[in-house]
Amino acid sequence: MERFVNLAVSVLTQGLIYSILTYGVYITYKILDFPDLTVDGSFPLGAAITAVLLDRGIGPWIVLLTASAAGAFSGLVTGIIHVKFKVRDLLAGIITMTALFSINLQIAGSNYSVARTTPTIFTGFPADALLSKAPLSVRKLVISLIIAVAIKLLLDLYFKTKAGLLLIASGDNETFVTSLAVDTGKVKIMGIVISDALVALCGSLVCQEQRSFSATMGTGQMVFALAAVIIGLTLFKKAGFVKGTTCALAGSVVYKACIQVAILLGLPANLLKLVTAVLFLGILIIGRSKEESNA
Amino acid sequence: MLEVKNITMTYDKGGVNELTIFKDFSLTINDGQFLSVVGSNGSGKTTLLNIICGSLTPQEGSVILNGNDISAEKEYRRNRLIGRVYQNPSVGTCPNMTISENLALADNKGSRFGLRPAFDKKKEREFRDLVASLSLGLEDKMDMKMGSLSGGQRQALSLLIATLRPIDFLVLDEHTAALDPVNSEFIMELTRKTVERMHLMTIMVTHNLRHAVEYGDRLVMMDKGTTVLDIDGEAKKHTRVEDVLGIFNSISIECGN
Repeated sequence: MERFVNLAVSVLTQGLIYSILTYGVYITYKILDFPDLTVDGSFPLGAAITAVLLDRGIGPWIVLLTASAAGAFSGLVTGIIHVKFKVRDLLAGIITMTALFSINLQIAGSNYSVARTTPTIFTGFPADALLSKAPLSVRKLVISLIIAVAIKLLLDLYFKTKAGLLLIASGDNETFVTSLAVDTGKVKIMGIVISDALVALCGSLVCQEQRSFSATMGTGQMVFALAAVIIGLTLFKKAGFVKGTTCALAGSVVYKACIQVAILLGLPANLLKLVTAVLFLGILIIGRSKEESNA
Repeated sequence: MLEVKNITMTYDKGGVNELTIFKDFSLTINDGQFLSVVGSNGSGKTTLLNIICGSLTPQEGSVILNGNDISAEKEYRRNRLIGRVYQNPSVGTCPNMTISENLALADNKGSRFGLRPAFDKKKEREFRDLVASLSLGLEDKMDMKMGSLSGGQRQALSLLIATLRPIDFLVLDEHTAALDPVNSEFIMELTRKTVERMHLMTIMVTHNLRHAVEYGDRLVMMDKGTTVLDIDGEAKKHTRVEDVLGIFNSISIECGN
């Protein structure tokens, strides 16, 4: 029983942490209709910056924001490549992602470990003061829950502002946005910037949680997040009032739980990406046939 | 006043499909004038609208709105002063957003899209009253997705949206062509009321000769990038559909339409 509870806590924590990445992909994929492959580079970028800065003794919350800012910048690069230089969406993301791979190696090498004693947002202030009695795993759960919910609420608020509504509109009908005397290119760039800021923030959280960076940790993150978004949306499609961000959050948790179950059932870790890819394909096909039967 | 001056427009210049639509074409529309443009396919009507709105850049010539040369301005910049209703009802609005959301966005045209809330109670009441003025009963469906409405309803809202903020010039691009006869008449009446109320300088491209004759105070017929008929004032009032149809048929037969 205790083993089960520990496992559940760990899966839930993973799902909550990765929901930040899922929000980011939700914005580009679902709202902007822009398949942003920058993700596989901006996610480890956030982690690389985090590993190095934590090691230098910088406060973990400042590190979190710095990583996020770097992610925003990588999104800006993809956005400019796509909008100003008119490179196709997928290619624009691939270009930035490829460049980021080298940049990440420059920042943190191929692997980087953070010492056990270095404070992270899960062990340092204010988590240590508020949750001093709780074991580390529970602290991690509580902190990730607070961050995941706080960012979800912030995004929900944003989508109710003029800027947020405009972002949704630009994914829905570009001509309409142009008719409002607004440059659709700028709106698109803004969306990609916000998305990659969230992705890198998630990379930073993951690095702070596992205390390590590896240059390959970005591989497949885009596919994971896409799958999580689609799972979430498929689960809640019937209930029209559920917000997209809520779907993304739920999708992330469900996905991480599925993977955990697969590992418990004896799936070798080396096959994880293969299973992810097959699972993703399955979700896409099921989602498509559902859409068709609804139409 | 809108002046289109000495426009030359060639598609695929130097290519195998080179096609010259306009050669040194000029047209002036006066303040408060409601101009209807008719013409067969390929006569250059839609190209003219696209040049005025900035979706197409001609090789030569300029577009001057109220004395300002806007030829070099990008499409989105020109839209501060221009409202446009398209043939396809789903182009003028966001199909996956609600009526309220579409109106809230349109209401902010020309202003900054910042971090202020898009709605407040006062605005929502305003929007409701505006929608109620269309007498379509949509004021109780403000949270419905635009895409779930009928073509006529969407086109009525498109017109409302295009004219929600003060504009200098209204562009109607075959905006009733996709509608059934009843809705088509309804939208034309709504158009007339809107244009009269706002004293809007308007250009309407249409395939419906009767609409061109019955509405507006000037009628232009185009053929192969030139104006073959241009009547306004008293002459326009006395023009009948049959008169226009005669000329229209003669040019259509020439091009084999």
